[in-house]
Amino acid sequence: MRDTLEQRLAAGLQRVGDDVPDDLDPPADLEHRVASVRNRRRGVARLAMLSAAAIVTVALATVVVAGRGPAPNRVDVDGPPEVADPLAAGTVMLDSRASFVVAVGADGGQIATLVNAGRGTIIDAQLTSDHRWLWYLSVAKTKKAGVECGEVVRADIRRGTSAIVARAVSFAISPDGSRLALAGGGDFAGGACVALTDVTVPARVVVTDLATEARSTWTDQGSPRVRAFNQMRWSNDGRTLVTRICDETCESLVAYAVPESLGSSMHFRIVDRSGFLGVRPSATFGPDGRLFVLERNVAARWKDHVQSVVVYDGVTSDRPTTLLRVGFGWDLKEVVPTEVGTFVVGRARDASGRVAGPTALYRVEHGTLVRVKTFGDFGVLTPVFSRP
Amino acid sequence: MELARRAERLEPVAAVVPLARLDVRAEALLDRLYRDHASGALRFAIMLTGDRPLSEDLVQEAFVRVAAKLHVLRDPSAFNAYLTRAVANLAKSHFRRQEVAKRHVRAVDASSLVVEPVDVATNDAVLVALRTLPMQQRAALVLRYYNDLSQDDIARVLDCPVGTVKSQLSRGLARLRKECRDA
Repeated sequence: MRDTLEQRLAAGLQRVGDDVPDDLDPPADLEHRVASVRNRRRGVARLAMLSAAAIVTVALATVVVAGRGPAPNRVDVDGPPEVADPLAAGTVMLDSRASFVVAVGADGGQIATLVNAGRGTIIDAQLTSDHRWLWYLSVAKTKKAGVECGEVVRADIRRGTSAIVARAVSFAISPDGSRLALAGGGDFAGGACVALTDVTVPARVVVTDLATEARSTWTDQGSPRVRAFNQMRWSNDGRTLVTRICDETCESLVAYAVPESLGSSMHFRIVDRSGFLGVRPSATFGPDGRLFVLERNVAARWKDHVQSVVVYDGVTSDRPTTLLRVGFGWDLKEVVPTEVGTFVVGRARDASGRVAGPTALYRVEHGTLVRVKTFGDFGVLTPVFSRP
Repeated sequence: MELARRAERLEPVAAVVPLARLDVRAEALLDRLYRDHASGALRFAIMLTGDRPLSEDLVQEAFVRVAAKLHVLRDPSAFNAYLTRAVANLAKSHFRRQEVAKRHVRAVDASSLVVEPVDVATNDAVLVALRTLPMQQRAALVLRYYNDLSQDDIARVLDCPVGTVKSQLSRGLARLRKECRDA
């Protein structure tokens, strides 16, 4: 039983505690500071071992250790934790083209070059919601995208560094950066990836929790086998993974339900069968969490050919509504739902089906297309949302 | 443009070390640990010091120190206890340094060396009195009356015998009563 003073103390402390939010963002330099302390400790430990040796040897060894480790009493010149957005203002999408990833604004203009990989072709780029980590998939120019393995690279936009993290045919990083999905052949253990041209190895999608290394796997047991993956996309809540796969045809847009606690196997369900496997993602999640899908309903007659942008509920992948519907006079390639509007990339065709204009970025307005910018050479576009 | 200059510094793929999977794991782990434990540690620090900016510094420093030893901790699952203890020790060191500075640096205006809490709920007589107690007594009282820990758990967190915890709690409460009565 608490007396009055104890009750007052508990109540006062409770008021103080209530003023502190439950979720604090880690400082941007946390990893760097932890690594610095760890390195300094290693340096000290080495020094202690060497001190048992002769003084001259210790003196020499100290120089070596000090040379390897950070300077003692190091002053962190990075300043206070970063609050500024590392991404240039006005960026609404990323464009992966050739060996570059470019930040693009709402007018289709290039704002900044974020990555110059120097080799290979970048076929997908995804940004974590804090805008710090840019992940991309780079495939050698001699390899076939969607079928053969490329390098999944993580670049730190703030520091300007990058590292290869895995090899895969397709990948997706969850918005919070905690879960990495890899698609391809093999189990990806130790960085291994097998191209889907190897018929002895089933296709797999493996989701790994980067903190705990827990994994959930989908293994292809169907017939015919999956022989290609399109770009994969995480839902904004990190619970669903969508991609278009090629088995007998390349029609199926599938959604994997990713378990909250990884470990059990994953299953997919088919969202629609009206797609096609191009070199660009035909489905992606918008800022409101809904799934935007580019569908192509191929009819027997060319003039009956219809393309649509259909929007699905992001959680259930059902209740489709049509945002845009165009006829055979258009050839749409991808849809990019952003916070400033929904865009599509495409080009017009004439009555005979021949290309009648350059490829351009269009904004969808009231079911019609408004040209924003003509692209000379556009790549895979990924929407970028504001930081939470 | 600054961002473009940064982008130019990105290393070409050929130059990076292949498969940095473990680095990614460690970083994600740090992020998760921070999100799981930092707010609790910040509450604890504010209750000890009454100064939020100072508390934020203490929590970050404590987190960095404990996380740097994560791979050698006897019980990594007790990260929260290690962090709480580190916050208490850092707070104690901070105020001790300030006291020393106040005694010996006469040339400096002593009023600029803030020892008294300045930030949180200073109009609450019990909390003001709490911050006059020795740091170990403050820590024991906060863990008992805010975190609702048993005496055994407090002893584990503060890494001291249970008997010490009992005496800290008893003396702390007695002094609080006296301070509040006098006030």
